[in-house]
Amino acid sequence: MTLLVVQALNGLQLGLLLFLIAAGLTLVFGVMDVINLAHGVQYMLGAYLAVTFAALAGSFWLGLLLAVAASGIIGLALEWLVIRHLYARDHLAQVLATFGLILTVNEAVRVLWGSAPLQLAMPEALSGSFELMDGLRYPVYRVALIGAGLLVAAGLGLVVARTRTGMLIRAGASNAPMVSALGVDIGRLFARVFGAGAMLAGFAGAMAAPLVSVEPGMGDNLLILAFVVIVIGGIGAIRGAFVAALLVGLLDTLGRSLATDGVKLLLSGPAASRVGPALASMLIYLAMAAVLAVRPAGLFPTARA
Amino acid sequence: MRRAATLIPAVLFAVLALLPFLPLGRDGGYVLGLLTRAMIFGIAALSLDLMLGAGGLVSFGHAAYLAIGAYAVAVLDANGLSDVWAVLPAALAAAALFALATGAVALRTRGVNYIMITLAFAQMLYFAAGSLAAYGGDDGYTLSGRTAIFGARLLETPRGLYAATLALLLASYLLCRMLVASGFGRALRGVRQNAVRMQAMGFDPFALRLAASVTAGVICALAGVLLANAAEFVSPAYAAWQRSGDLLIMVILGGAGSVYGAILGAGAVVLTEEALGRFTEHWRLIYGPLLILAVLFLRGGLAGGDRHRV
Amino acid sequence: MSEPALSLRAVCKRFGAVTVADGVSFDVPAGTIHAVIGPNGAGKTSLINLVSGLIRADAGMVLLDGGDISGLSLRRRARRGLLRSFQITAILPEFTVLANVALAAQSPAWGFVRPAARDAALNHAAMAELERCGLAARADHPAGGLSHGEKRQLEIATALAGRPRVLLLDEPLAGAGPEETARLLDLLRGLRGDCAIVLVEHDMAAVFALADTISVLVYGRVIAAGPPEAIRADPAVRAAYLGEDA
Repeated sequence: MTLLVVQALNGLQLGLLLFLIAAGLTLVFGVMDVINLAHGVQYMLGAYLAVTFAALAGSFWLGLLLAVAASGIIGLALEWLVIRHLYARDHLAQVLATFGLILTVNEAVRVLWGSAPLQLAMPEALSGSFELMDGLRYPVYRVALIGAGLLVAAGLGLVVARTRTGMLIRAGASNAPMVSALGVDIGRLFARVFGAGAMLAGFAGAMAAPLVSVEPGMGDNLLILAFVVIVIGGIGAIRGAFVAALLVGLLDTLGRSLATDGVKLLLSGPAASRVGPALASMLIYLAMAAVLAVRPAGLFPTARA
Repeated sequence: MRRAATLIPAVLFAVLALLPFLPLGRDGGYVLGLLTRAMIFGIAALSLDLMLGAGGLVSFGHAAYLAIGAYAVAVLDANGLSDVWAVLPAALAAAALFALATGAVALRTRGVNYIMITLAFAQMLYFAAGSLAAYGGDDGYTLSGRTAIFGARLLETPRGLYAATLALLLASYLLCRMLVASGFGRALRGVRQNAVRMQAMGFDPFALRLAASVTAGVICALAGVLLANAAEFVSPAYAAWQRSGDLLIMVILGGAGSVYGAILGAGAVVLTEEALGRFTEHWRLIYGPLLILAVLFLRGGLAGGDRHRV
Repeated sequence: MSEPALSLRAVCKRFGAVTVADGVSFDVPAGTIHAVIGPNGAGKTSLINLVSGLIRADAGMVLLDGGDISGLSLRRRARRGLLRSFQITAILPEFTVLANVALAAQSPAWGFVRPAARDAALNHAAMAELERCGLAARADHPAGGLSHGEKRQLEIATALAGRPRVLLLDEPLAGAGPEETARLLDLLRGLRGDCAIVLVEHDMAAVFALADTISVLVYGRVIAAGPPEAIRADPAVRAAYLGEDA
């Protein structure tokens, strides 16, 4: 039982991490109609920058702050250099160009930081664990991550629903040329959306850094998961991304333990310990295939003009 | 434009056919091996062009078929069978089944959802392959030898594999060219342009796309069989999504829809990667920006947008 | 021949609060031309979509030669000979004009070996339709580069190449100049013997000159139906169009 609670909390944490990445992805796709495969490297850069800045500044918090800021700047730079030229192109061109970005940035990271995985220590204040229930201890840091994720989600929801920028984003998501025709500087809006998405991804990377191994390519598999999230959730929908991210996070985490145990009931030891994780890895994709089989446009499809 | 479309491939195949007879010296094996690899990817890219250039289907999971073909070789090899009469039917049948099953689901989606679901199916295959302990799991499986052709060890030498690959490349090219120009191909190209219009004419877009997917999958599995033979090694990495990305690059760079462009694209990518790789271990740092620039500025690809108009 | 080629029986369709078809019924015998007219927003294009099968009706029946095709898709209805043109032209822009029409003639066959472009029978049939529609000179031109009026002609040629039993035309004369209109009217008159034609149009003069029977559609309801003279004299029709008493 306690294991289940721990796994569920881990699933929640993974889900929120995924949401932070997927939010930027779905915004960019929803507003600018751009498939940005390079979003995963934004996450990776957030982690690497957090490691470096924390080391330079001697403080995790300063490192986090600087990493998020730098992620935003890098995002704006990428938008100006590459993404801007993809707005008028078809999805395939966007996929290939951003694929090129992945190759480039992953390699650049290898050159600058080396291939060996890096570590980032958790900040003192968050490094303990506390007792949730009788006999159940859970790391404070992970709770902090969950809290931060929920805060950001709430903040994002408020911005999109209540502010003028949010309204422009929603309008742009359904009809960008119209918004432009109404006199809004669509170029600036797009740049800001992209930069915000980059910051979200960078924040996710920086927060995740103490928990995972910081290495080249760390963003690639999370990127695919993030895409699974926005496909299940429905393109362009923040709410959909939130629901789908939590679903995927829980499914992946709980699924892994349940699948391994479940398979052990059917197969013998060595085979089970191989098939179990494989099945668990496939679960997410099976879920996506199942959702798309029934709802080819995702769970919360936005109506596009 | 039309004359170039027959002239360029003719010259290409002539050069490839003559190459083994040139004095290549000590590097001969290496050159033949490199070109064999380029031709194998040429076959794979040709098959993807059938889906993408003709059918408009952006599959981000086409590498799955390379893995299917390769693993057919591995599985049969582990069970003592390594002759073409066993390997080929197994590989092609497995590919056809996979294409039918995944296509039935994937082809109900459109746009980015289709891209993602094809990626998802390839990922599933990737993880499934990694879990096959009997065939090395993540570490992969080393073949005990190359596939025999009805008992004859024809593929064992670089020249032998090269010749077989060239023959199959030529056959695949002629097949794809024939299919694209046929009534089926024309209907498929029509579906790419306007599926509703085609329905109003009485055609079935789903059936056309599924047929294209199955054909493409089967041809790509053939490339997978050759790839396993060339490397004498099979691993889940054959189905990695980065590999599917490579295939897309080859088709687009070569010029989607022109058929022979896919071969040019495959050659360009394989040779560029090799050349850059000898120059620096960080060759991706050059390749990545080159790719971005090519996508941004090289609109029609190497074949110059040589789409069929009829 | 007892059964009309096309028959609508109380076809109904709503999109939320908007009713586009409210119990629409009419019969179109083979060899006649039936026009559907009505003020803008009356649901005329939706009617074509309903009859062709692009959208499914909520209630009512569509019969082709007496057979119920209400449950069939766009594609299946096309295979039975119910063909249509599109108001917003839906041609295949990358293909030549000839290829567009030849493909329609090819339907529903596939074929894997012989190059489709060199199929003499298909090309011959296609050229015949192109000549009928006045597009023969543009046969080798990419369809995407055609003028608006030419695209409309191509739409009709494409539908004709499918050997229709019933032909649904969605505003075929829209944007056509006087010569083109005259040519199209001649073409349509010439088709009378082959199939039944349902025509949605705004050009009143053309409609009255061409149609054998007319239905007037207002907010999805047929408020008047009959031969042109009867419609012209109908006070309800006058009111609907002119908003005043006859």
